[in-house]
Amino acid sequence: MILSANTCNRLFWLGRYAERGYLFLHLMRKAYDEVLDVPVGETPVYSDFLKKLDVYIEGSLDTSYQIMDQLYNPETVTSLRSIIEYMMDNAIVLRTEIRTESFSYIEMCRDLIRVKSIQKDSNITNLQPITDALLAFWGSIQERVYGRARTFLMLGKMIEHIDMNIRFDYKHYRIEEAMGVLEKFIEDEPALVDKVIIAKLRAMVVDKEAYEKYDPEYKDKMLNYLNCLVVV
Amino acid sequence: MEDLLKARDSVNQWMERFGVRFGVYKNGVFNEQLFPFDAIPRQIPADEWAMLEKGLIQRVKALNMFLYDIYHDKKIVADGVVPKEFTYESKGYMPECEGITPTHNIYAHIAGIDLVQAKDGRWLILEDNLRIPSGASYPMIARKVTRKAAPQTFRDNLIADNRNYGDMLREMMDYINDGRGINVILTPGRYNSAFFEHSYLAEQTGATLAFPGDMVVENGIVYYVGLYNQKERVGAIYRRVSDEYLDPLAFEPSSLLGVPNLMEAYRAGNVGVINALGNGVADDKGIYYFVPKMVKYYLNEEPILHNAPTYLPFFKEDFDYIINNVSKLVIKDVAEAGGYGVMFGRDMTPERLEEVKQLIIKEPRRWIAQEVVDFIDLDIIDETGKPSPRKCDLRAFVISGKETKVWKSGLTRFSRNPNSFVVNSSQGGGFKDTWVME
Repeated sequence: MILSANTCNRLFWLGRYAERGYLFLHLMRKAYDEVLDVPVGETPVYSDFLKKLDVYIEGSLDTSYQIMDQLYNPETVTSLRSIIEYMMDNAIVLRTEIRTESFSYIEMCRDLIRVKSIQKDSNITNLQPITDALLAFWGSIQERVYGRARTFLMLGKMIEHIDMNIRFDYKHYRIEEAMGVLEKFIEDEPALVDKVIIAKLRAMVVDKEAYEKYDPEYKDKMLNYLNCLVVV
Repeated sequence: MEDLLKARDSVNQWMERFGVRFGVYKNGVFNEQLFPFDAIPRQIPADEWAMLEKGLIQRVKALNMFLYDIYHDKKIVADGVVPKEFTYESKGYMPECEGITPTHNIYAHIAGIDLVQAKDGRWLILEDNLRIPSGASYPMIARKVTRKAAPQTFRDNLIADNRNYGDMLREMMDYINDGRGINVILTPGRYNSAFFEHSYLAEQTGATLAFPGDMVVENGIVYYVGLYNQKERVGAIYRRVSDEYLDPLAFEPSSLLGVPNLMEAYRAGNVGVINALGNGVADDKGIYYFVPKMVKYYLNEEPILHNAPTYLPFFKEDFDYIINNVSKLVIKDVAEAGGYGVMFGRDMTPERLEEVKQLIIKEPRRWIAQEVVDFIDLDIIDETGKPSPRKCDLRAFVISGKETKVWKSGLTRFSRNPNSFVVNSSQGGGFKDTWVME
């Protein structure tokens, strides 16, 4: 099936947002858990979670406000609500490429996040169905989507995956593994990536020692290359 | 059917999950909403359906012949069967289509014919929709869901399967395509009220869903433009964009929804357009009055299906009747659709009745009047969970490709307001599945 450039772009971004939504919840649960061990009076680790997402809050840190804002505020571009709405904006025009069954999992995420936003439900364990639906979405993609459409979805997914892994200081071997998967999809669409940038990114990924210093400047450079990699 | 009624919440959840919605603009704001589904189906017995099927095929064949005649020989006008005021002065008539013969000489590939059943059992035609009739996707997906949610109902009843609509469309599109290239469904975009249908039908037919800007015309050939400017020839376009927006170089120059130079490719016979351009001349509410006459004129047959009793103020005798009886008639603006421009005389104040009379006197060609048909009510499950009668119509879908076929189902729309006769989704109506019994 022939795909327009616009459709490819939407597939790529659907892949990115679906992965971001999944990892956002995963990492937020982790941050939630870590907050439990912070001694009273100390800054909650939760603020690290926001910083890693490039969210800088001015003024005093009110943990419950931040949680609600990051989960449900449609005006906050980094919020889970926004991520899911962006996911839907892409998915809604891709029914023919991803099929109704895969689309239905995105619809379920949106329906749930809208209900929870109204309820202002601060218990993130109640958002587990979103994680489940996103995992089912990717399973449905494996089952039903082939060729170029799948490649673009997976390129988006893997770039987002590596981006979040770098931001959250995942171990080097995790980045290397994910990069290996990304390379396989790049092989299917070699014209899509900037050759100079991919060479620079590869060089940074293989340098374990430099990466494992978790130097913010080094990370920023990697993220910069990663996010300029695909030219859709 | 008990398990189907019990499963209605589950059915609605599935519909929500599949994104079965339609868009509505209110005060300039776009909102998507679920199309309310009622689980009690309309059931049509096999013998009744057989009669409907014959009548619908007859009607659509006559309408197709009329369209060819209007844009070619014009015999029906020359013979005085249809006045020129209802053809060449109709808003739906497109002089740009003069002399163009669409692929296989078919104009109305997908006809949506609206009917109601009177209390005496007769089926009456309310409207012919030959431009972009919508709605087939809703009963199609509803059937998919209801079979899943209430399997016993479908084991206990012999119901014609309606999940073949995608296959019927694909077969027709392939015939019109004539092997020239790919099939495409052209949508105006996701903010169109029927976008769900466009995307779902593309999925079901295997056609490419094209958005404005996705196609170009080069040397009279239409191409779909893929990644890296790769081009693939288009053989048939099932367009869901109105005639006037389809080609900015031929019609509305400000249109961003169409394909520049599409008319050139169409005129050269290089692409099939479904439905053909210029069909509006045959589904004008004024021309509706003449369809039974077309059946006799072109097919030399008696019409099997009849119109609701209709009067045209254009004719002196009808004009006098309308002016004297406006309080008991339904007055319709021929230029409107979607339930807009429909006025029930019985609901109007004396002042409003007088205003309407003046409108008819001023522009007799703009209006038709119909007797209020006392059509049968069908039960729906209302907000309290109890059966409650509502006015319903039926949109039957007639597909014309190699053969003319009627889809064994249809969109049954109901009014949600118990006192209303208006069933259109844009006016808050809901829908039911239509079961053709075997």
